[in-house]
Amino acid sequence: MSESLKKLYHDLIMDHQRNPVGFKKRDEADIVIDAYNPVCGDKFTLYLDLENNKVSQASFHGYGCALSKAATSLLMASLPGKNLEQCQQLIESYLYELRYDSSGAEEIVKALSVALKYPGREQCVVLSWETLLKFIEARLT
Amino acid sequence: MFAIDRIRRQFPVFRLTDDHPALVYLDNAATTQKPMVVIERLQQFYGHENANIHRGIYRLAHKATQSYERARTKVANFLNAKQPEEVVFCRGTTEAINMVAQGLRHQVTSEDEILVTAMEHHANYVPWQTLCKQTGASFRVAPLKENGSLDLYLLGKMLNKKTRVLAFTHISNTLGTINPVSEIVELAKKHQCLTVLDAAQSVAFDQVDVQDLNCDFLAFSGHKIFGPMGIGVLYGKTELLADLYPYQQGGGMITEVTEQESRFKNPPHGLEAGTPPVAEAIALGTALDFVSEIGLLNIREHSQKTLNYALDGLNRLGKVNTLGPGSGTSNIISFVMDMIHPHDVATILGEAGVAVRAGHHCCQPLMQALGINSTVRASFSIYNDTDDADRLIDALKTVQKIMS
Repeated sequence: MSESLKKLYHDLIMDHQRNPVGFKKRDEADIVIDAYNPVCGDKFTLYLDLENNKVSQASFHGYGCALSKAATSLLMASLPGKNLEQCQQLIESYLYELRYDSSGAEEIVKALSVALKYPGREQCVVLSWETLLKFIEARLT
Repeated sequence: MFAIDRIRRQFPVFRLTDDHPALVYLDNAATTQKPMVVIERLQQFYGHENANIHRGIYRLAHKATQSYERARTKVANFLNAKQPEEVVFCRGTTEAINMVAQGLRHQVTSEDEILVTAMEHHANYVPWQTLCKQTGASFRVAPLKENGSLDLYLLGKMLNKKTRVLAFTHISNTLGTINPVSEIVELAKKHQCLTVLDAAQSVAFDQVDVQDLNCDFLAFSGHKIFGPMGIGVLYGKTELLADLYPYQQGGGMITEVTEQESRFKNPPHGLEAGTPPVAEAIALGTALDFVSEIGLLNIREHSQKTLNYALDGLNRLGKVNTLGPGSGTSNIISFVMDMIHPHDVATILGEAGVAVRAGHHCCQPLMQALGINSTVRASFSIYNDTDDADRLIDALKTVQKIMS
């Protein structure tokens, strides 16, 4: 197996994919957003609850590859306790680290950034993050 | 004896380079690789024979026209059409089907029904759905059996005197299922219904004889039969082509244009508006010569044998489900691996130099019918051998190791 593949399917990613954080359907959530990639058919629904303008609960459900599932799981794990502005900053810095400089990033973000070296796999690691970012941007303007 | 080494040598893509060391190309259902003769024919035309057709009075233009029309005759012979005029050049299968669907727009009414099957590629699905929306006709979809084969009994029941068109595929691009074309055409003929056959996957796999199949229209793409991209064929019975309203108008397809009125040429030229892809049509002719020289019976036997070898390996791997009833009968196989997403499979395979396709294969209604989101598809051609199949299976073992 190549070094690059080892990095991509890193234990940190595989742990998230096997035991995703908040993998639960919650149609009653305050915010329900669909993250869909028509090219590959990956489709997640993100469920967020807000309390005092802060995310109190974040979960997701749906179908996707190991990378998109791990990336979405990481997003869900990162949101609770943050208000929408903080969520926006978090997502923007994740996307920046992935695309431009992951040297100072957490190990799992470094691992996910390897996806960008593979044809057609960038969408897997940004799908849920970008979908939520668009939602927040629309909400905050 | 199938001389695979001699065949492989004719495809420059398989020469070892840094870009793709020892490429195992199993995405032939998406497009086939190009042999040197086809590449050289394109170069020859653009380098030494380039002129527009059906217009110039000079020698170069006359020669280009002759070569283009000769390619039409080659296609007609290849399909065993009654005459070259039954062959219309277009961009590919998708355009050919759109040409028929939109060509019928003024004949189809809200009383009519259009019937397709649940295993169609979007190219033989969406144009008919659109035609129905435009005309108010009913869009109907013949279901599959649980094993993914077409339910001929229900298909027969759905056909009725209102059915204007039955559009269906010869070989499913996803499952590899081979449909019994003659039998289906016969069912349709009982109701005087037009038949449109998507032969995109079958022309490079088996002999396709339009007189024998008796379909009214047939579509295929050059690039799936070792020819260039951007050229394809619509075959139609002469009197039926004449009934199609040209879905594009412009140069080359008219006999007379006045300020308020225009008259169109008869088919095929009346359906070929604008400058066609001349070099590509000529090189398609070369590709068909190439195929005929190897022989479609040989091609069929070889690709089936290789696929069956791969299938055997897949079954021995375990935790792999092959889809469809056609497993092992065509050159296409689709499978899913337990708890492993097709895109992860394709990435790891890609890293091992094995090119397969993962996704919905432009068949979302089929995926819905099968209750899955995507599959991994391996499709074999003349240059694939058992070594390729072994490399596929080895790479799948790596997939299972990484993803376990």
